[in-house]
Amino acid sequence: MKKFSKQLFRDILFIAVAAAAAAFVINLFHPRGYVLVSRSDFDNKRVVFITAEEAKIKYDSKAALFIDARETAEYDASHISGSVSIPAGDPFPGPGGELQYREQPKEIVIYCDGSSCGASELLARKILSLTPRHVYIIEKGFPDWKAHGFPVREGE
Amino acid sequence: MRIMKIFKNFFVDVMYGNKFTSAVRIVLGGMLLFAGGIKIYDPESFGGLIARYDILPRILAGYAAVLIPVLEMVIGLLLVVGYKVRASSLMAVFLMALFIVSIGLNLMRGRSFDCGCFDVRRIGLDINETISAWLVVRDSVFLVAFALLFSAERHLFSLENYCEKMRLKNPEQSKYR
Repeated sequence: MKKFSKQLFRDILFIAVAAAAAAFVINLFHPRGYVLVSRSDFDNKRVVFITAEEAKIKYDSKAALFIDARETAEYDASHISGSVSIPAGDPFPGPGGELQYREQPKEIVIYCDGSSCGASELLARKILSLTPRHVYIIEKGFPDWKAHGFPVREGE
Repeated sequence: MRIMKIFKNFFVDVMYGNKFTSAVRIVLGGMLLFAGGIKIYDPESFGGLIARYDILPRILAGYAAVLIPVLEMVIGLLLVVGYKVRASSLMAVFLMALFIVSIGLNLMRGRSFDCGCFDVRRIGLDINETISAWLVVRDSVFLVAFALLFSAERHLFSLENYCEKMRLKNPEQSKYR
């Protein structure tokens, strides 16, 4: 039997590829796994995920602008008291212009509908493209805020 | 003289593949399986460990932390089961060589930290695993053992062996006939 046959290298390649594939799938679902982030986020770490409790602290300090990234209809139904509605899908920067983000004295806290909602991140990216500042996202979104019994304004 | 002959026969048997070879295969495979399994539990701290070795660029440490435990587990599983033994033992040889080189390099730099080989503290055992010449020797022994598995012709109690037996029993059903 040949010691270093082609079959051997084929096997090795197969094992390596299979292990790598398995590794990245496991990592994807691993609670302590690595997260792949885009280079700009990694360099600046400007998007910060916070819990509803942390957001409440910012809310109480009145030094934060809460932005609702959901659709207008959802905002109308119920939203965090004092938040403004800026649907992530709408034209940006919208009627308020760039200045409302660039020279916004308050911290920006964005929320949408739950943890896997991409609207908050989409809006956060748009804002970050205008100005180098920190943007906070409520990790589990509006449902978590509501579940904690924090101030909510129901629609008319 | 007689003792020498017994010893030589045993050595030849082991090289060819006897029960001892299989025991080595299963124990070392189990070891890799264990080492990989315990690292899979916390890729983040393992990544920090790889970064401490200061060999890979920081950005690659994460990828290595994700890949190495699973690779260890896959190789370990294949060895325990006894499937694709030659390929997996050769990979294990490379893995051991990698460990030896990284530990050796850091010894030469005069550094001292936990090697993270098994990470046994997580299951409550307190074994000192600071990098040392002893670890290089230990990994070298493992390397030689994996090389032995690679060169052995026969693996008892293995899936490979079982399949081969089945094939020889029913030659007319075999596609290799």
